[in-house]
Amino acid sequence: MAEPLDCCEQSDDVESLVRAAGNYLRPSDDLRPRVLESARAESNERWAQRQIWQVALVVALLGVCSTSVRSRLEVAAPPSGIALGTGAMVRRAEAGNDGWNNVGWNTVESFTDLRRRHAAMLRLTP
Amino acid sequence: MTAQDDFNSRVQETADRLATVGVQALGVLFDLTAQRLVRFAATLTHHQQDAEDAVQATLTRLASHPQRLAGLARPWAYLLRMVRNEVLASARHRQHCSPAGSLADLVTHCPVDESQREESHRAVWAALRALPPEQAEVVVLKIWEEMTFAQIGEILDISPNTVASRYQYAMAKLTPRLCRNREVLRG
Repeated sequence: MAEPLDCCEQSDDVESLVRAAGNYLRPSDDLRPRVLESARAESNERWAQRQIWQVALVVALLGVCSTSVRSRLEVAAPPSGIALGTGAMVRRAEAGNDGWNNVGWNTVESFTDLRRRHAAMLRLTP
Repeated sequence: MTAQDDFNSRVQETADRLATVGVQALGVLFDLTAQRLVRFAATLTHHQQDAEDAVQATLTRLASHPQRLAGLARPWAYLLRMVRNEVLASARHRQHCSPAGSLADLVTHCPVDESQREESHRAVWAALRALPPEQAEVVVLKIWEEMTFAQIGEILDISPNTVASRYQYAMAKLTPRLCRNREVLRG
């Protein structure tokens, strides 16, 4: 059990003693699989989270695009308020959809015009 | 090129590979660094299980953000610093109560031809554990990691003079303790 070194007063010798003990401790056998397993689990979790965010982003983009396209289609072919009957105009106006904002104003104008014409007809009636 | 330079460049290569390939390259990094990381952490935690938990947490975090190490000039120093931070953070949450001077928690390896030196190695570990952690970590980084005082100062966020001072205090405590132990061994 005796050590070959015998000059403990010298710190160099203590350094060499400490240096020699550097490889004495080793990681336990299950550390490697534990580390790799937890790293894989973490990696998979991050991948899943990334996928969820990507799907959510795609859904949101699709929603925005479909709303925009529908709005453009409505603007391209606006309904003619005068030609419609008043009941139909009211129903269209009550739809409350964003794409129907212009229809609402058209309905108001149509009503105003219709009342003006009725008033004129009533005035003409003897 | 010294052994330490060679080790540093291998860590750098592995870190770059980790950033490129991902978690598949973690095994190589583990094989290269785990023993050194665990022994460094064990001098701070005074318990090998806590040290291994800190190393596991560090390497797992690294696998999630492999770009942290890639491209660094001294990835090994950065890795040691990560482990140290992990040890300090987890030390706030839990404390293992090992009897003073106990080495029962250590998982050790001593080749047959070095079995005569096992008592000496155990004496060194016991002496290191008797030191304040801030002195023990300096000894480990200086002797086992063969770092300069300036490099150690960068890892610990202290000046090289402070590192040198801590090292001298540590050696002043280690010397008589290890001498006494040697005398006992000689009987």
